Formats: sequence, C-alpha cells, structure tokens
Amino acid sequence: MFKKVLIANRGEIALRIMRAAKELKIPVVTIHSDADISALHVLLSPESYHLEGVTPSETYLNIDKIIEIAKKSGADAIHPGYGFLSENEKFAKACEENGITFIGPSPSSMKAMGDKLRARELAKKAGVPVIPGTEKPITSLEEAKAFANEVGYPIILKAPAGGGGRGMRLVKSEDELKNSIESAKRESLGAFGDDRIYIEKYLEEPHHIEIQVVADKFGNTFHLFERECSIQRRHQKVIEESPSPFIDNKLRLEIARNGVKIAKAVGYFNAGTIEFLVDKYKKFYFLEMNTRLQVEHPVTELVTGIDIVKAQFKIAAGEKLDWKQENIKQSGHAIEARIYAEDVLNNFNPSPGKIVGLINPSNPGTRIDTGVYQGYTIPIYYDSMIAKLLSYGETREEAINRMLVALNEYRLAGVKNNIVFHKIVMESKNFLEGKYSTNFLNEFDYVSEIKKIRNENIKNVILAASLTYKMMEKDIKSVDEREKSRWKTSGRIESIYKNSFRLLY
Amino acid sequence: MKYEIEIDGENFEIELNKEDGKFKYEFPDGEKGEITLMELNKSEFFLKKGSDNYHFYSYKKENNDEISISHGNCCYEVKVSDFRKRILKKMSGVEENVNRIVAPMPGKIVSINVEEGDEVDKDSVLLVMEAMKMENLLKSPRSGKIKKIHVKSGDSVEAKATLLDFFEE
Repeated sequence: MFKKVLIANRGEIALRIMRAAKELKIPVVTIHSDADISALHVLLSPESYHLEGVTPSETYLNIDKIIEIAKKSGADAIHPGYGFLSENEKFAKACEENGITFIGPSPSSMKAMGDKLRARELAKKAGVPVIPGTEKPITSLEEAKAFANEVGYPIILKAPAGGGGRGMRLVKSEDELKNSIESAKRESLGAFGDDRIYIEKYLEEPHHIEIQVVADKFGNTFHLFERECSIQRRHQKVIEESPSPFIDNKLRLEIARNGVKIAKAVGYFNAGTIEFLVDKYKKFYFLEMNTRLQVEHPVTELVTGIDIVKAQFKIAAGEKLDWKQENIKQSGHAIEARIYAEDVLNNFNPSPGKIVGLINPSNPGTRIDTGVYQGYTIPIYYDSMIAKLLSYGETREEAINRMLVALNEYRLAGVKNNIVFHKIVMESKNFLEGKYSTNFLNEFDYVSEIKKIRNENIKNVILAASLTYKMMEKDIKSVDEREKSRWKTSGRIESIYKNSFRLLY
Repeated sequence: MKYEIEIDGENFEIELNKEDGKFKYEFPDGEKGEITLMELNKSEFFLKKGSDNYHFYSYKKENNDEISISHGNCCYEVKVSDFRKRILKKMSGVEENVNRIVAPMPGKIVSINVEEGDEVDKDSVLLVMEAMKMENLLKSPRSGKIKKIHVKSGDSVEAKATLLDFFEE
C-alpha cells in the first residue's frame, strides 16, 4: 500500500477519500486555496498545504504546484476525487513521470473516454448503441443548422471535454441556435479551456441510467449494477437511486453487460461509470463514460456493501480484486438527495454565504457526506453542492420514508437551499410511483408546492420576524441613547464607545 | 406595538407587546396568545406557543436591511416596519428605485453586453454573471436607456451590488 496520499480536491469528496485512506492506515496530505483555509477537509486533516489564489486554475487545477507539494510532503499517490483534475490526462501523465501513482485509470483509457466524440466511436465499434449525433465538432452555424434539420429539433449541444452539465444547451428551435452555441462555447472555454461543441439528437422522455464498474489491473472487470439519475435540474443530477424503478432485471443486466463491454474495450482499471440514456421504449444508448469516482457513488455502496473508494486505493496499489460477479448483490434500496446552496424559487441560482445554523439528521440507514459546518462560509468560487444526504431501506418505500424523516429534521440556515424541494419531490405522486424521466421537473409544478409549504408556516414567520425586529429595535435604541449621553458627558467616551459595539443584535 | 411585515412581496400585520417578560401577540384575524422565546445561540431561537414548538433561525445579512428567517428549512427574506416608521417614510416620499439593476447573487462579471447610452429592450441580455461555475444571464426588466455601468468584466461583486443604472423615465 502507499506511504502517503495527497488528496487533490476539496469539500465532501476530499473528506470521503481521507476517511477511506485513514481506514487503510495511509497517512493523508490535503491542499487548500485561500478561500478554503478553514474548510472542513483542512480542519480534519493532519497535514495540509496552501495553494495561493482562489480560482480553480490557480489552485485545485494547478498541476505543477500539486506535483511539487506531493514530492515535498513525501506522498507517493494522489487521489483526484471528482471534477478538477480527475479526468485530466496531462495530470495523470505528470504523476506517472514523477513516480507518483495516480489513483485512477491509465492516461490512455482516460484519453479515449475524455473526448466524448472519440468515446462514441469506440462504443459503436464495441457494438454498443449510441445516440445520433455529429461525428466531429461543428465549425459553423450553417453546419449546425444542417444537422439539426436532418435529425429534427430538439437537439442538445455538448462539449467533447464536458462534464457537470457545463457547455451543455438544449436547443428547441433554430432561432435559439446561434445564442446557445455562443454561450455553450464560452462556458466550455471557461470550464475546460476548450470551446469545441458537437450536437446530439435530444431523446424524448429519456431516463438517465448509469452502470458502476470497478476493474483491477489484471483485466477483472465487475459491474455494481445501475443508478437511476433522471431527476436533474440545469442538466445536473439532484436525486439518484438504486435500483432504478424503471427497468426490469433482464434489461438491468443487459445494460450492465454493455457497460462492462465498454470498460473492457479501453482496458479500463479503477472505478468508473458508464452512462446510458434509456428512452420510453426501453431502448438504451451509450452516452459517455466517466473515468473517475462519481459524486453519487455512495448510492451503490449502500446497496452492494462495497466501499468503492477503498477499492480504488487497492486497485491503484496493484492488488487483485478477488471478487466474483455472481456474489455481488444489489440488495435493498438507496436514494441520494444532493443538498445544494441554491435558490430553488429563483431558477436554482447559487446562494453562497455563511451557515449560521446546522443540524445534521441521523437514523438507521441515513448517511451524510458533507464538507460544511456551522459557522462556515461557502465560497463563491466552487460548486454549490454542500452535502449528499442518503437513505437506505429494505424497500424503496422504507428508503423514501427515511429520507423524509431526515429532510424534516435537517436544519441548514444562513444560505438558501433545496431541502424543502427534496421533501416535495419525495412526496410527489410520480416519484412515489417511480414513474419519472428526465422530464420530471418540467412536468412537476414544484414552485406551487414549495409556495404552499411556505404559506402553511407564514404565521410563525410573522411572529419570528416581529420578535427579531423588536429585539433589534431595543438594542438600536439603547445605542442611540448612549450616543446622546456621549455628547453630554465627554469624560466617559471610551467605555461608551466600547459598549455600543456589543449590541445591535 | 403594531408591525407591518413584508414577506415575498406580501404584507402582513401583527400586534406584539412585551408584558411581564412575556410576549403577547394578536393577528388581524383575531388569533392571539402568549409566547415564550428562548435564544439558543446567536441567530438561533426556540419559540413556544402553548404546547406548540417552533425552532427557527433569524439573522441580518451584512449588505442589506432585511431580516432572514429560516424556519422548517424555508428561507424567508423579511422586511419589518412599525407603523410609526412607515408613516415617516410615506411623508418623505421615498420611492422604490426601479432604475437600478443589482446583482441577484455574489459572483463574477463575465461579460457586459451593453454600453452607457445604449437603448435596450425589455428582456435583452444586459450582462453575464458567473457564480459557482454557473453562467447566469441578467436580462433587462424594462426597456430604456443605460445611464451608467458600475462594473467591468472580471469584477467580483457582492449580492445586491449596483451593476447599472437606467435613465429615469
């Protein structure tokens, strides 16, 4: 096993990796930007190095600096987490050249899958169905128009280097095309340093179903079944579950086999996720492969009992997985609710700020992966996901009920968040019946549901507001009074001045 | 004392008085009673209305005069004024400023699509902001002529910072 591991990430995933390393008795080194100096992943790690700056490119994407810190601290392995450098071929190569093990796949399989256009070609060759799309990035508006007219609107614009919904735009008609391409290119350039865009036909009512695979360096490739990730907003997942309520066992295994086929086609080792779209006729298409640990990996951990992060460490260290596919079981049901600091009623706009109150729920089958604490200020520079709340039950119903108990007890004050949004989704008819596609949010009037809940509470809010105001008013008045006396009695200025600061609230 | 409370643009009233260390309230619909308030932490409160329990957080944001209330994980931006102050405000003729575009959230200015002196239509994109990896298009709430732009591309701004002004109409 490794002498020491550097965790090149932040937030909840840095903590998840740190804990796996601690279990394996591997010493840990973390890194942090200016803005993250008192982040939880830093507070809980014994050794941590500062990267000057706040932007991702100065800090968590800074290959040279990170390699330098790894060498200085004596780390012989780097875990990249998800996002940031996790799918960066250059970084994987830089690790290799410096004698550091990159806890991930080989640079070549990363490269093959990193470019989504190349990945589509590869899947086609392996006999896995793909969605109709342009074979190359588009070079002109005319070309985009021609393709769109050929397959028909809606179409979806994608960045070959993309991920996390960035650079992605749904285009419903030709008059939106020009603006969408420009904005997708700009976002993609900012996020990935690459402004290429390609086009795919947009499937109607698709389900987003992905297969978790884990493979060692000896060609042993296993699937850990599927995750249903169809509930999305702004092309980003919000709720995931396993098993998928949409597919039967036969289809589940068929998709899983196709996932394994793709992993094998690139000689993949490490944990990885093969994403598929399944249309309403239950035909499935390869979408892309994520060659890294996935945000929603805990869903699979709960139903299979396998610690995916520890498996990553073992694989990277050259250990053989002595598993048998038939012994890997998907038992019970798990759901993940991503908790974002965002304003649901205002188009899910991010809402960074200080957390003034926090109580995390706990119960059998309840898990929280989070990187925040009471008093912590969520920076504006990084992702708005602040926690993953997971529930597990023997049945889907039990998992949903446990999720509801947890959501109701959760307290997160100071930043706007989507906890109530999750609650109303869990209680919605379509979710309860397991009948939903990626169109779920378009068909669900969550705004009215949230407003209903807000109105039920309105009298308490009025009381709370007037009480707060009354208390503040009293304090303000006392400052005024002291100020007055300050003019009258010039002798005691200093002590009065000191006093007037304590107050106000 | 009577208070007027604005929540999500809607106005409510409540009568609230402190007598013998207890708060007595009355809503316009006649509901009234006595409450005990406990301050658990800075910003964290526990309110008992008979046997009914309410746990809430209440805090002031640094950059504006609103109170935020978090109750049952719903966050409410609330403006409170007592009647005396409201009358004063009316007399001074202060009007809500509709000629100013402010940042809806903290973030970075990615690009500015207009220049001072430009005539813009309602819903045309004024500028692009980025926060937490998301691009947000700020659209014009009305048509009009741009008077002044207060930011430049690349600037980091706080929530509610003034971005640009329109000429008054």
